[in-house]
Amino acid sequence: MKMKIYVARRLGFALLSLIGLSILVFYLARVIPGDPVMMMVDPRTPPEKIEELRHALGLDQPLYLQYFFWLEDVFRGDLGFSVFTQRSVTRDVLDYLPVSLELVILAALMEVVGSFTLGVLAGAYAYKWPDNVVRVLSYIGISIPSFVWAIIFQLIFAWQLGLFPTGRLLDVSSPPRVTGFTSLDSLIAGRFDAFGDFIWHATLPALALCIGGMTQDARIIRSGMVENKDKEYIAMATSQGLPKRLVMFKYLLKPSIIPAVTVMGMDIAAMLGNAFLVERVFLWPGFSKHAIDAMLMKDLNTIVATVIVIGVIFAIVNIVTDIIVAYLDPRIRLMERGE
Amino acid sequence: MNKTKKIRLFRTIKQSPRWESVRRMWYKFSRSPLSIAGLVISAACIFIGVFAPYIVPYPEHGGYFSNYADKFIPPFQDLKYILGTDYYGRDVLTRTMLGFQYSLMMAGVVLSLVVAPGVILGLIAGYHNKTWIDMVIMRISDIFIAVPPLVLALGICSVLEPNVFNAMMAVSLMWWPWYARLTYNVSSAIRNEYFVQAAEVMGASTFHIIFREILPNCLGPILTKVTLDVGWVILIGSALSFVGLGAQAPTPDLGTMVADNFYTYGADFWWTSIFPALGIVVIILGFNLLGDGVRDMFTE
Repeated sequence: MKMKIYVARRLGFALLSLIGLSILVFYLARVIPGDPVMMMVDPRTPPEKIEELRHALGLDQPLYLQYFFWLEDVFRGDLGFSVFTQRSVTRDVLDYLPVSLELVILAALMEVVGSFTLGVLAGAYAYKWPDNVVRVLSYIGISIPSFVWAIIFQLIFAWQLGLFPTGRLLDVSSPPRVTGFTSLDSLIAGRFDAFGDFIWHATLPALALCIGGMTQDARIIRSGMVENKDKEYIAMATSQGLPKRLVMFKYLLKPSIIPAVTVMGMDIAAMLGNAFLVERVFLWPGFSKHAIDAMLMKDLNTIVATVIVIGVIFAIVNIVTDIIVAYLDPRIRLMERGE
Repeated sequence: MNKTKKIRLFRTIKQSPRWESVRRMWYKFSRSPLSIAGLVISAACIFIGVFAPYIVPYPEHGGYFSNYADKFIPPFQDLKYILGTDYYGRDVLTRTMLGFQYSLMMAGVVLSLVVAPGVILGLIAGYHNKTWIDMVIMRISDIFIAVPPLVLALGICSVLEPNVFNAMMAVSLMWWPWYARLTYNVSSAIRNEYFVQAAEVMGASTFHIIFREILPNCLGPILTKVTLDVGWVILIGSALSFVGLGAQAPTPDLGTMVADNFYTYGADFWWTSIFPALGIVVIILGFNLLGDGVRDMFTE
């Protein structure tokens, strides 16, 4: 199968699931909580006024037509009005989403770097003490969920030891807003103090987000390396007298990371969900924390928008992961060129 | 006479392949000390969950109870309250153990609701591989997998009233596709094996083929997933309670306890939130180790 066709197919399926998802959440948010008009108006409003409002909002139309009107608005970038913040949901998303994405991206970077370091160490020293340390870490990592890590980190490093700040993005004045991403904005403005301060604030939440996945991926890289160590091509490379480091990184590591990349992509996608809990623990003023606040206030438009927006990002992360795996795996690459 | 007896004895041993395979599976399971540890931890968790109301030191501390004279006793200082007490003077150990009950109930209800429908849909889709039936079932299950499970569960819970029952329903609604997926992958892979084709040629019914030919070959992965999922369902349930969209105070739910105590008195009275959190950790660890053991058991 050609790569382009493969990607197009993936995009098509992702779009299909997103439309299905939008139908599901639209139904949940419009039908289950009751009459949306009655929730907006004063209970003493005369019935004819209510009917007028219902007609003005298009809520007297059949449900499937309402869905299409809503979908049309979504494609125009209008996600509705938020009762919770008293402004458009689109504005809220644009304001809060970068703050969350920044945290997830930092966590993803930490996960990639950390799992490679730990995994290569464990693979290189298989069945010696570094391997055992990583094994124990992986059991700890899988059994402690990210929000418990968040609590432990905050208790120890922020509150008891006072090493890290919590609750805000920056302690210094914020850089002028260009992209909405604080780290990018501070680099654009040349404010390295703000950049450093941001990283300092983001370290604990990002670590809490990535630590579980990091230790799992390290184990996967390690087992890949141990498995491939006995392959003939490694024996050949070694017997040809290639330096040990070259064999390790060029011949052994490359085929061993492919399964880990798939899992890493899934972990990074799952971070979008875990961010909801971690941001709440650290009072990180991002999209997830905002969404939870809106959920507790039953702000239906924001709830629907949250699920859709996270769904879109989730689909993008998954497709990008597939493309990276296809690029890394020569079997997939060659299949594209050959047959 | 003597001879026939000997032959019969020989045959009875030989003729119980099922017992033999159970024995072999147990052997594979028991070879790993970690699997045994998982079995012991999960069994202990289930025991606590089932018998908590009868074995905890202060059963009345599960609900509205206050004894301000004993409030915020630190752990390991007073023998009466080994793990300390919270703001209302309630025993943290008692409440954590009672929390196991809610967590395991969550896992039990959710898994008993989702496993059968998910597996059956997966089998049907896998048997009718590459037809419109497969297409419809798998595309519908894709919808529920299009966002991280926690996000969809939060979304569903937030439009409903926040309570334990709705949290269970929300998690069940989005959990079945994982079973459909898993069963589909296994069953579509073996759908064209000779034994399935043989059954088809002999005129076996679709029901027979799906449940007697294909299903037994999917049992290993399904049982492994069920075991691992006990931990994950409990995690999602406590996450929902943690943000306030699941069980509400004073219910001794692990997630609710962690959140309430952490936000209000986290810094100074760490034991009120850390011990319930450790409860969640122990459950997940136990069922993960057990699940790994179950997986080893079914691999050749």
